[in-house]
Amino acid sequence: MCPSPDELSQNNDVAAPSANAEPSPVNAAEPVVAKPATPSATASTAKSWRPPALVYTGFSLMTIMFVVWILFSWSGYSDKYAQVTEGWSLGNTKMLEITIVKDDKDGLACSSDLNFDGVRCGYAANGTQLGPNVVDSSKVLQPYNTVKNELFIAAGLWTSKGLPNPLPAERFTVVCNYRVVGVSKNMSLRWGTKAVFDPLKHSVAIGTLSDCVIPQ
Amino acid sequence: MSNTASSPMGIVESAKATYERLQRDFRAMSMPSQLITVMICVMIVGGVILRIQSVAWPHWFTFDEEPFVRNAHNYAVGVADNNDHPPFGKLLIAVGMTMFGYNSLGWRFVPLCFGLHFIVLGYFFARILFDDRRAGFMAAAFIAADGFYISYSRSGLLDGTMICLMLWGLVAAVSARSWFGVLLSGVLIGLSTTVKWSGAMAAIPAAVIILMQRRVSIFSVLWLGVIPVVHTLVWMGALKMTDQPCTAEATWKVIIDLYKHHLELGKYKNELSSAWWGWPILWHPVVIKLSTSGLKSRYSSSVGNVLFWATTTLTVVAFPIMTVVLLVKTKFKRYWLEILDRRTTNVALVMLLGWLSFMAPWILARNTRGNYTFSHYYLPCYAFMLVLLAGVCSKLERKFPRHVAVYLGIAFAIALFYVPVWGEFALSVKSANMRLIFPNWRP
Repeated sequence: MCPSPDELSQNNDVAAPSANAEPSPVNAAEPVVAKPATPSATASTAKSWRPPALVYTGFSLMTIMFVVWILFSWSGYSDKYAQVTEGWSLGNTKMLEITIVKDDKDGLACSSDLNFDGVRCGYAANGTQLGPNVVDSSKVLQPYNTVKNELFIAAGLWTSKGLPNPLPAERFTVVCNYRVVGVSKNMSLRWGTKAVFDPLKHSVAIGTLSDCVIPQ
Repeated sequence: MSNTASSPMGIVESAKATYERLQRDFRAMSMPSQLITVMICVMIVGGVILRIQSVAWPHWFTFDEEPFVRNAHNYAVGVADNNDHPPFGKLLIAVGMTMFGYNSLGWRFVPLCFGLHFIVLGYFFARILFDDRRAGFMAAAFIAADGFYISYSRSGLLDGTMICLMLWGLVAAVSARSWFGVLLSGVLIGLSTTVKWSGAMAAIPAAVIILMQRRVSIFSVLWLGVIPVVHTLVWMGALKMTDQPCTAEATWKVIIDLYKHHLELGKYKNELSSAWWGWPILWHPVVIKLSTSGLKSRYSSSVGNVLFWATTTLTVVAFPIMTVVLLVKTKFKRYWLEILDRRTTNVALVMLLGWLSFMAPWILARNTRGNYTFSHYYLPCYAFMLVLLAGVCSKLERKFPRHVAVYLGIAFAIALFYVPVWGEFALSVKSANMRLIFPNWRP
């Protein structure tokens, strides 16, 4: 609740004008001269002291930021949107163009214990490779980049029926439908068979690829 | 504070007592005043909800967001800023991005918070200026329920933050009781200037308010000289963050180069630009956010409440004329002071000075900037006028409560009609065009 004007006027430094005791701030003809405080007045001041307007406004900004932050955190916003890809939200399907080489099938990998709707990394968080009895090859997550250099994690690329056999020997692109099933940054990525797993620094979208074709 | 008051039971009792007091006060009001109170509450609460709901939509850049957001990101990762505005607004946007990530909520979080805080500051500014709590609530309601401020609160732009810091500086000025209060005012205006240079114009009304109040020594106004110091120091810090040369000399070189760049902007053309004379008459308000999905679109138009806009523009023209008439024909003074007292009249003149201070650079720079100016430069001017309108409405309510209730009722109805194009509700183009009636108002 806001203080009354006379409560605000108790402050000597920055405060609101009083309602009745002082001249109005803009048309005051004479400067306000502070009277020496009597003991009883001092006691009254101590009892009814309220912070000045600037303290209220500073506090209000802090409160607003805190409440809005809590509100958005509670809504789980950061669990729905990846940090590295603008606007890719949980449950959405996007058409992506991905740049790959055929060796990526074995070279690209991620390690994590997380499971998203049945899809998961081919390696556990401790780096142990999971066998086909643990995770089906069509559901193994791997990291990819789009032609716009957007990082995402997906399963189902190599088992998509639209891809030719054998795959082109040189670098090529494929266009797929990508459905986002999760967002996480608790994951490490490997970009070659002999490379080491590097932990992610930002959250990325995790999903499944389908209907992949090489654009003609 | 006593133990009783700070204990949970004490707080509950205090809240209960406050509620009962408010109920008593409300019952004691006349019917028109009760109506006005309800409208004020709905406007404030509705304005807050409108600002927050679906603020992250659309998830891509709208209007001018891209350069600010990319450079906010640059600051967060230590890369040089290549935008043509001072750094502070982008540093603040970066705070939101570090909290929520590089996404639309991240870059709109801080402007939203400042947009909400602007309502609170509107309350304090009007309340202290007019020494009237009712005027404070009216100012908060007018700001909360105006599309001009709603649209900028919902975007990752700098203007909302700049005007918020500007108004905060003025609240500091109007409540200053010592040199320290004036210094605080200077620091806040300095920060506003470091968001956008036009924020510096707040120094003029701040100085006049301080001098007219005579609460502090007239020499205290010199503490406003801290504005360029704050500006330079923040800029030096921002340069240091991005590993740029950050000595005072190097910083001033950056500032002067940017100033020269701004002078050259007049040769560019932009479809969204509009000349200064068009702002008070809503010639070309910009649709700040627009997204289409299927057959429906979502608009966040910066068109204001047309009734408030018309009233404030008429006031800008009429008030100085009336003041001159009063000076010449003193016999009118009695009738005038019966409606608006001396204090309200003086505050009105200060608000008009504030309006003029923020308009003057764009009027004077017409030779160099040409028509490369935008309607959002009017944001601070309109704020002064809304605060004035709130003070006058509050004053008039005591004598003509029915008239004020009818006036606010019309403004309230207009706000309800425009809510869909302010708050990005899904609607058809036909429906949007019904509200954005002039071609210049449409995207």
